[in-house]
Amino acid sequence: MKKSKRVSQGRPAVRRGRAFRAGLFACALLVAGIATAAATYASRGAQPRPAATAAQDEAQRLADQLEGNKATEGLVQQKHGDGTVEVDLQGRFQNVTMAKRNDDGTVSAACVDTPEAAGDFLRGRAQTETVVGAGVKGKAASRQ
Amino acid sequence: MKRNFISKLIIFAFAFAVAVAAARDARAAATIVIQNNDAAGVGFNDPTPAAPVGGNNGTTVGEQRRNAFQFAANLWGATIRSDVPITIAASWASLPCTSTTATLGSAGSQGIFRDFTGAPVAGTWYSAALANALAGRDLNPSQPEITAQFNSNLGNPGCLDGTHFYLGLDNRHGSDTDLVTVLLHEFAHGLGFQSFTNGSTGAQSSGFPSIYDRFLFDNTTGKLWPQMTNGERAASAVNDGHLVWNGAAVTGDGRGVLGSARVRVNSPAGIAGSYVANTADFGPPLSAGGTTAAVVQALDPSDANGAATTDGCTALTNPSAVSGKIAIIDRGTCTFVTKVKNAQNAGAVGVIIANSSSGVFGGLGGSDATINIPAVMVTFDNGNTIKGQLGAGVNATLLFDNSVPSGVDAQGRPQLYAPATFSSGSSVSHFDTVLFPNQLMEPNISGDLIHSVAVPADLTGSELRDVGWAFNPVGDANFFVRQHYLDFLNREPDSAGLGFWRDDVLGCGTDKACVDVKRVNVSAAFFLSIEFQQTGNLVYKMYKAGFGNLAGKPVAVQRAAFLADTRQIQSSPAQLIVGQGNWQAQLEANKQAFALAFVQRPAFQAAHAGQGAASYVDSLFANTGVTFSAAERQAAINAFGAGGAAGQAAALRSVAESNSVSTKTSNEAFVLMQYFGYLQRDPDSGPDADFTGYNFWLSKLNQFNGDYIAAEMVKAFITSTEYSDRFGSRL
Repeated sequence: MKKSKRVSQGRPAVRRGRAFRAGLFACALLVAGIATAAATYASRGAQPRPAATAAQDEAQRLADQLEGNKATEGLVQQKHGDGTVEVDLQGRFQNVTMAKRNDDGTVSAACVDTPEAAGDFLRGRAQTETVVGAGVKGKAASRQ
Repeated sequence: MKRNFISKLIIFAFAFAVAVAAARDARAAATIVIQNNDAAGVGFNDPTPAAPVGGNNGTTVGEQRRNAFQFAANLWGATIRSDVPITIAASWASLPCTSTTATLGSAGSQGIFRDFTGAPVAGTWYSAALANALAGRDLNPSQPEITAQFNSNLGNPGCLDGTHFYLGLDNRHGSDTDLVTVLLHEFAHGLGFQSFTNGSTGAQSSGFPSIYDRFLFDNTTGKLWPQMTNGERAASAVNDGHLVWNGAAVTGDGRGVLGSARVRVNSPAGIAGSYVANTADFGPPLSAGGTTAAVVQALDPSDANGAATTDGCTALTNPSAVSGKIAIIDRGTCTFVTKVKNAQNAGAVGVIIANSSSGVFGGLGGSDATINIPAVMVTFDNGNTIKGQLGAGVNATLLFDNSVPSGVDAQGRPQLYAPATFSSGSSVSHFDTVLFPNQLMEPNISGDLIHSVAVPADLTGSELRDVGWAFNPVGDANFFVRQHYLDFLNREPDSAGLGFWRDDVLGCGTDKACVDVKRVNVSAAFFLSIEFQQTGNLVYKMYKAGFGNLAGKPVAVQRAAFLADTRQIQSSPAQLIVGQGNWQAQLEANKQAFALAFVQRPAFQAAHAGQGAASYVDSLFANTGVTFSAAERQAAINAFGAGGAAGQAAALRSVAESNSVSTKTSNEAFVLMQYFGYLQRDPDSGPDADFTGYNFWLSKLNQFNGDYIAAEMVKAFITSTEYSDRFGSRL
């Protein structure tokens, strides 16, 4: 049963996922092109955004891929004959790991699930970051 | 003849029972299938040739990606139970990135279910994989349980340039991103470490909470999430430091996992106490036992590297004073790595960095694989306190202190990540970043995680237990190895030893047959180790020589007495750790002390008081039942010397450590330790009313001349349900 599932059902799921992400990305580009990034950010009720830079715009664009990730609108409950209720999450509620290079050359990574969290991480406002790579045990470590 | 037949039948029945018990393989508790959703030539099917790396023997980039995914899946599959295979629909794609930022990948549950047959809590969403496991059937066979997608461009120009996924399986990722660690994290979300409630609005999916939500407790309002309004939930999601996990497994296990770095000043009494410390990115992690030594000011020249003579920026000028001690060094001028390396070169066993008045009190950053001593930083004031008493002689311990857990509330409940700095949308599906040591399910995926999902390293498995997974940590390599230290050596592992044996098991990669063999060999290595042979096994032989077998039993000692005595010889007058310091001298001191105490016990004196050298030695050999050599007998008589307790002790050791006795008792001790160590009981207790099982295994081990692999003895015990039942759910 699983074998046939893998063969017959895998592709549609992928296409759906890719279409979803492609749509998000296109939307992000559209938003970046038409509206100002600051206005976009402010519309989510976040902290006032500093003067936009190219890097920040790129960061915002990465963050925007998570727009709607935790929205429940449009998700449909399906009731099975035995009383089981199922919801296909349609690619939402994904947990996304993002990474960025810090000023000292180290790389930080964080798992996020909203554009706000992603934006804060990418722009360096997350409270605490831990480096991926060089084996970090402490938090917010400096080198000297 | 008939009696013989019945006897054989009993043995067969026992062997069958053992075989059945062993048949449920604790390391194949759940099958997690990686469904390759990539097209030909890309992603998992990328044909670009690749050199083997870190135990990943794939010959193409695509194969190495598949191996890393399956390796991570197997690590989870070894600890959770599901009779329904878990399918992870996985693919690689060009995910958004820039030259300095990147989306590494994503994962999550494909669907959620509630009110299925077998659901522990009604009206509650469960992730697909967990729902299937609880229901015992695939609730939607047409869908995978988890989806995952990762970035195929990472490291290429324009995509976090130069920082690649490390595809090795050994965690030696250097400056790259360890793919296995990221996968372990993301798969955990897919398995159920996730809320399906919108944290921004507080709205539950279709009006129902997820099982995860039922453990989210706000200790400001005193409410669980399902008891809250949408507004209250949204507020709770950013109630930094006050949203905690209210699950019994996590809270209970957290006491053994979480802690704090500390400098414990043992003397002088005037400043004795526990001082807050921050750890280093380099060098070994702090241990629970800690590193204890006198504290000495490190001194170096005032030169171009640093004007101060206490900054440790140049080779130390007082190495003889520092050698074997904990060096205290002032922060400033040069890197922490330089300071610690200079102290290490001078022979220091640890380093305390005293913060400068202006420096931020944080961790010690940097990287140097050659540093092998622990280092910490203390505050400016505490540094001055310690330095002010160096003249009086300061003795301190650098340690990881479980008694001061970090990131928990007053009831010991770990905090979840709910930072108030995020005005909306913050994730509650992670532990807080203030937990120490770093946890797999903190949002920041740390480089020091060790491919473990269970205690004592990590609380992720405990969280999965809380939400309903049948979880058993014995399938986790780190847990498995550490448990052997506790069961056989009666101590916490030293970090080097733990890492060595853990990596030996993990080094098998995705080869499950190899993992099976390695687990058996690693397990047996603890019985066969110098540390056990020269302590626990010596205790057994001393009982054998001193008293012979227990009345009516084929063994010389019961577990309670053995355990107490083994702990004594391993730790008194000082803890023995083979491989550390002058362990040979420590071992000899412990053996001498134990033997001397052993022969002065009333029971021993009742058996041997008044015996002369020859009769004493002859009675000891007689108790063992061995055919000894004349040389062995004479050596024991010589050791007896002038007699007395010292002579008795020396002769007893001479007999117990003789080749004849060691050879004769080897198999019986090996079998007995299977019961003492793995099953934590006597062979004729618990489910066994007599020594039938013990005799079966002794007969089999003898049949195979002590070859535990051919006899399948260790394998049978470590895969038995009785063994795994000690630690968690039956898998």
